[in-house]
Amino acid sequence: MLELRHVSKRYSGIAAVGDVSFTARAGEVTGYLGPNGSGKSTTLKMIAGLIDATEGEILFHGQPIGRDRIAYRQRLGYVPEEPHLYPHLTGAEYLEMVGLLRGLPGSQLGGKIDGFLRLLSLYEDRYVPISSYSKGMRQKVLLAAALLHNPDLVLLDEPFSGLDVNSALVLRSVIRELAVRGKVVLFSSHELETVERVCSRVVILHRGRVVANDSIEQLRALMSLPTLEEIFSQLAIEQDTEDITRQFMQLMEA
Amino acid sequence: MALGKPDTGRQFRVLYRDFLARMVDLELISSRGDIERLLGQFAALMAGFSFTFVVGMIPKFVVSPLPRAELATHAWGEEEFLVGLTMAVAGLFAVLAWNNVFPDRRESLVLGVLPVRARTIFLAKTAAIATALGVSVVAIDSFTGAAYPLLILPDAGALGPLRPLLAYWATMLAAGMFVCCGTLAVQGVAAQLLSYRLFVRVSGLLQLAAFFTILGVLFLKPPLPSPHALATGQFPAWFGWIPSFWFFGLLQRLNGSADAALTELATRAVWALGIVSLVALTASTLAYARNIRRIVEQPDIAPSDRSRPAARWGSRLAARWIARPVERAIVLFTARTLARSRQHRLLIAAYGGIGLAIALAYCRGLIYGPARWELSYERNYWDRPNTPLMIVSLVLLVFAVIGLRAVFALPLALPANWIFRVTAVDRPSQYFSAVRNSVFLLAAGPICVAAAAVYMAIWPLRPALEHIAVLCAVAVLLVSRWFDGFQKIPFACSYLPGKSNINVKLGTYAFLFLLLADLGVRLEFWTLSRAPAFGILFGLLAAAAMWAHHLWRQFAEAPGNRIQFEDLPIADVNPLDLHGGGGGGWAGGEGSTNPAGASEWGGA
Repeated sequence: MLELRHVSKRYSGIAAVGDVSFTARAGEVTGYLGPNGSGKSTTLKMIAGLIDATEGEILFHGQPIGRDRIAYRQRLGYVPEEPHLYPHLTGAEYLEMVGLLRGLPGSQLGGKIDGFLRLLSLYEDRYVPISSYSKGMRQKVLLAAALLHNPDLVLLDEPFSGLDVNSALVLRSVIRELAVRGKVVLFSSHELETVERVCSRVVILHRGRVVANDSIEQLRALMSLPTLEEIFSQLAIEQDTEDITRQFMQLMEA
Repeated sequence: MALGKPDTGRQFRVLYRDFLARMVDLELISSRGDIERLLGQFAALMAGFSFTFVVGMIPKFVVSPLPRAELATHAWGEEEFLVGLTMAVAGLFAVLAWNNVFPDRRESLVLGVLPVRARTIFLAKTAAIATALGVSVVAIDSFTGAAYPLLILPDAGALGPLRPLLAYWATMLAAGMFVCCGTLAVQGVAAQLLSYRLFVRVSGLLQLAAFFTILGVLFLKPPLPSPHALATGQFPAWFGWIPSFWFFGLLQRLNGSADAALTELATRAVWALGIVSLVALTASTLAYARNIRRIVEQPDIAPSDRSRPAARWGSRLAARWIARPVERAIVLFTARTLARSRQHRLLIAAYGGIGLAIALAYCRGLIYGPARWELSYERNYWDRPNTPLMIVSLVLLVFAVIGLRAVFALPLALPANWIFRVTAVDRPSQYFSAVRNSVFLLAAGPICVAAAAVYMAIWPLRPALEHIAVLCAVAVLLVSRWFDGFQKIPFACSYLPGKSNINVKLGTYAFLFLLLADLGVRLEFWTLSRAPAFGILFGLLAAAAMWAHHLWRQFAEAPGNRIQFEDLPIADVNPLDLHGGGGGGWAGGEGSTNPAGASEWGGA
């Protein structure tokens, strides 16, 4: 179980995330939603241990993640929002490096990498440098790197970004299956339809604060709204889209 | 709203300013990321050299009682050196600007969609190159270009004292242009003959080849034949194919010399300049007319099914030889980055080039006999143990290790370093050990092995083995000391502008090192035929190497050590650390720990 208790992150006194508390349970896919700049990625980076929280506690299976970082990192799989990879390495080399850094035995590694590359349709391009990969291909490398070591906690920050329809369907199914196998899955996305299909519960963030934290069914019932998109609009969207569109056109034609 | 026709002149000015600012790779020779400051520093460095040369060389001509014509002849050696130096500087500039001469993919994508003609881009680029080249030549000849023509004034002709001045500058500009155009021509022809994919792959190698060719020619070319030998044609025919001799001939011809040999050299200079200029111009024009479209249509690196056999063999060897996975990952990552990142390759080549230049300068005496200033020493021979060849291995070793340390500090795709952070599942000492072993495997080891092969092939076995043993001890000593305090994973730590890679300090250290190396090698040479003395020398060196290794291990295993992912600014104010706890010690420097979030990446 992953638990965030009153977690805040401030940059030069300005809060990017403020007093966020929620729990993501094993066997569930927890959706983490919010408009741009609401603090989703910052939260995921704090959970991944890439940045420290200014206040609050992050616990994994009841232990603060900072207590034994090495053990925690061994159990963590993370797909960041931006596909930052080493462009001069090939897909296979990158996965080999990640596997070695995680201490996977060499005897297992080659077979695992080949298997992942085949399943993700990257096998033919395994000797091509990542600089030549499309955005979707890079995203697949990130996914393989995150799952290579069979992690217990999977953090997915916009994992569908750039994926084609087939790969997206496969990933959707993989995410569900990860939860079935008892993993803690925290999944951030703007694709509300996918979130609705994949997640059992959602946490909605707005301006760095949690504005909803419940199962999707419960939220629908509570707010008397039929879809997650409408719930999200109600809770997290402040702007009048039609008015903005009108202003946009005026500015362009000026 | 319809827009008017774009102003070509304005486009030219905007592009010219931009191209000039990006003429050399700022990341490579960072100086607070400020192009004006950077160019100013380089110009000052070159002008400083020119001034020193004048101060050192001119007085002997001023006080000389020789008649003017004889004096001018005595200055030939220096004049030829200055021509060669100008050509080398122009060549090195062309190598540094290599990636910015022809349109690349990013430039093509940005400019290709704008209403800018290829001709405007080409003219702006040409103007920027000419400006930068002119600045380089003027800087390196700033003092010599005023002093030499006026002090060693040949008989004034119709132009009076203006003639030697014009002759000097015309020659230097022509010599610089020749090398620059030659480099452009090589690049341009390759761009036309090869597919863009192949060109991108070959270009880096061509750049390195050009760099080492320029250094090699500058430092290995024979001394200029004496005036008598030139007049009577008593010099090997191949001397006539050395470009700096051509332009030296041109200088003399422009100064009014009617000597047949010099005239022939001058004629070659004019022809060579004409040919390379024409080829460079044609290739560049074609590149801009044809390549922008070709570039946009193809990726920088070919999406082919290349199996990369070398990389796979490297991976297999590493799997066999390096047991610890983390160490294998770091060594492979380091090797692959050095092999594939053009920027890092060029920087390591710059360090290697300085080492090679010094090494070649030492070897010159073995080829052509001792120089005039070396007359007090005996002639050395390749096939007998000799100090120049002994120093060569030491110089190459030192510059390779120093170069690797500098290159390791320069990041590649910095945002991608998150993977090292989230996968740091071992103690920091394992990472530091991996970095140190990378240096042994990629620099110190290959140099020692290559040196062993050469020395054992050309020298008797015993002195060869003795020198190799000394070299190995020096390698351990050097790597252990130089990487003591290095807390980074290569290429994965941020790099603050302002910590320039090539700086003045290097010159001071290099001078001190050469002095020590010269003394040390002479001592080693003396002990080669005296077993007890060699035993003592080697014992001392081995003890020093073991001590250095012990210090390094203390650093690597110090509790609380961290892998450093953020470079630290050089502090304006240094804390006094009066509490004695050492907590305030982050006064910059690569070895400092990061106070903010320092616990983040430490081991358990």
